[in-house]
Amino acid sequence: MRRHVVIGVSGGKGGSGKSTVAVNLAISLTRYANRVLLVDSDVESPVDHILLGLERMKIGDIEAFRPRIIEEKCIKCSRCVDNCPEHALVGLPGQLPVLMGELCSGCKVCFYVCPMKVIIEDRVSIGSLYEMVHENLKVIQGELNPGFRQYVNVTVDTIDVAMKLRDEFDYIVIDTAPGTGASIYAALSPADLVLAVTEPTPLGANDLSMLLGLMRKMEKKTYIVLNKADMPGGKKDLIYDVAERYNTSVIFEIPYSEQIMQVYFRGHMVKTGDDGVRKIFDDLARKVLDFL
Amino acid sequence: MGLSEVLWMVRIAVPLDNNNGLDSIVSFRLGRAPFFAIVDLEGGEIRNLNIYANPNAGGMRGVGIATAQWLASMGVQIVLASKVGPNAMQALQALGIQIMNVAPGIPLRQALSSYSF
Amino acid sequence: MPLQIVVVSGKGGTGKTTLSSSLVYLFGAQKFPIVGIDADVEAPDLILALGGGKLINVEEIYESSIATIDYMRCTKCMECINACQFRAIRNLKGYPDIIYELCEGCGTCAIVCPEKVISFKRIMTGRIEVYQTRYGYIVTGRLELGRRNSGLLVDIVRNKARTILGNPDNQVLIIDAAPGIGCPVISSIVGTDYAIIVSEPTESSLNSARRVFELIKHFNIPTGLVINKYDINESFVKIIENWVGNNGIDLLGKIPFDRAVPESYASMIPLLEFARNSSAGQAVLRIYEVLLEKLKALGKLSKGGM
Repeated sequence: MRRHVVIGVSGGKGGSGKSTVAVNLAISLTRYANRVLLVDSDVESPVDHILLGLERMKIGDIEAFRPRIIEEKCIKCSRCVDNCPEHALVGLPGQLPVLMGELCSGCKVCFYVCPMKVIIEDRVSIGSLYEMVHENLKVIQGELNPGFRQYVNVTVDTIDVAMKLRDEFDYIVIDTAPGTGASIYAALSPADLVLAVTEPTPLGANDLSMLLGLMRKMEKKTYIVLNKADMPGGKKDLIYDVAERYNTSVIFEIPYSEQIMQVYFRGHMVKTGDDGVRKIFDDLARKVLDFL
Repeated sequence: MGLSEVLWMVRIAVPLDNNNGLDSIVSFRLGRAPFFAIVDLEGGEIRNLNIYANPNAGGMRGVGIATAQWLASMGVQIVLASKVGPNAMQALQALGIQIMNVAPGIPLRQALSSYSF
Repeated sequence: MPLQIVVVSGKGGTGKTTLSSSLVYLFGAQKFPIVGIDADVEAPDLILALGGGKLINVEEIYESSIATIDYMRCTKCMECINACQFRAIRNLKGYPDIIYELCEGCGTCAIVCPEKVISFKRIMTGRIEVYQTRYGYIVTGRLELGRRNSGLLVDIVRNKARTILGNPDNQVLIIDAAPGIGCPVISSIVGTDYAIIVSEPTESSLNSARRVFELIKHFNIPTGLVINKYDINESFVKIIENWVGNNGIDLLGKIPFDRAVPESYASMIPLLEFARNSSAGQAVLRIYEVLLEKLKALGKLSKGGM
């Protein structure tokens, strides 16, 4: 059984460089460990496979409950319609209810509330699970299927599937979605340590304090990684101020590099093996290991 | 009342931004429209006009459908609307309510007079 | 009726707020009565892009509810944990514990509880903030940490924005939409006169743009597209231009990657005031001019302004 230390990488805002950091950190960690797992839980628009330039392989479906009404036995009382919290069942008393699939959250209220027990459980695929392997790095990725809204459920299940494998890995890096909502909570729940990726701007500071607020609620030890640290016009003090207010520190600064950005835009991070970029993230990996 | 007169009675709903009788302004929203006029039209004549506060307007989710459901329970057959969201549209179809297009921002009396059923 | 323009991106970080804040600046500079609406309620930043302002009004919205357990009567049967489809109840030291961030308030646990010890309490969904800035009023929706997003806050924010200026005929409302394609985006798009998609020259950005365009098409709203940081990957620009051409979308313009943009953010000064003559600034100005032409051609631009 391996150490299975879980490192969450989050960032509050899209475009802050969170995925770039998560992916590169995972790659760098492979130098210091035998096996590393990267979990791409940005289920609404996962990009880690594009950043890595790897072909992804579907390994499973994430399913949710969908009601199916046994029409012949339905007494058309419309109790299910009245109680559905999403208003996904439509119909008047005396009519057979119609299901509006995209609105169904899979809560099962209808299943439990039907007095005649004529609603049975159907399973529908709301998300897909993918896997990629490159040398000693494995990637598990979840993606919300088009047309579905249950991004929190898909996130929860993706994390679940990945965590079932934790004993096989020395380090597990979780790349989260942007934001500070329920899916971030789910993605970072198993984390032993969280890296908050931000940039030296008022927007960055604002989003950072929101994320740190949530991490405080969750009692997660969080360190700050300052991306684009020396960007023109950047105001690092804003970030250091937030760090102090939340009783944490900036453990690493990543320079503002067009190189890194080029790599991000063109993908194929693994194959490029750009030495300058690699060194930066190797240093970050070592720093993170120090803190563990 | 002759059979032909009975056939031409139709119940119409119009989403409104305010409650000012026939001068109320047609809303560009449907599900979250703050008011609805529910009107019985017979051969183009207004037989019954009621304006209700939309009980679903402040809801969190599925508002378009909840509103469609409410309109169906009020016996509405036709909705005059400018824009109908994808959810509300599906629900209205499932409930057998017809949607007809109307420009937002015009007074209710104008919206009603431009239709003869 | 106000002129309502929505700026969407499908994916975060593409530069949507750069454009929406610039539009607030430009319409305001031409003396249109202007209000900026931040519908990106999970990460609102429109006010920051304009350099902040004076907070003049806050309204708290309490529309969410979550489950709460009466532990005096709970028999620890754990039926609720099994029934919850959102894994929002966990076993904490032998007792079922409701996880605030995951509970959707659906009611399943209350129905299955044999002792009926579960009830529901109202909690804060979010806040609506109104700011006064040099460039105009900004109305911001702010979702409470950990809450699930919905169209409600967006709807309230848009309503509030429409009434702030007393509803002059020629008012312009710029809506900075939430990323993605869910309910909050639908509420941002409905009833607008023109939609602008901001995309970067990457595969993931174009995919997101395609998805949000499907939504806009449903409402039949005239649409334009702006390519941001286009020179980072010029080969992809052609692909985007083809898609735009094949789908009846106006190509409003392309903005080059320019340090002036992050510099202006960091200084909290709108791009067009901080660096009007930069390549990005000039590109945005041209985009604005093209947008005005399109709006006039659609008959949507009233006589207001200079």
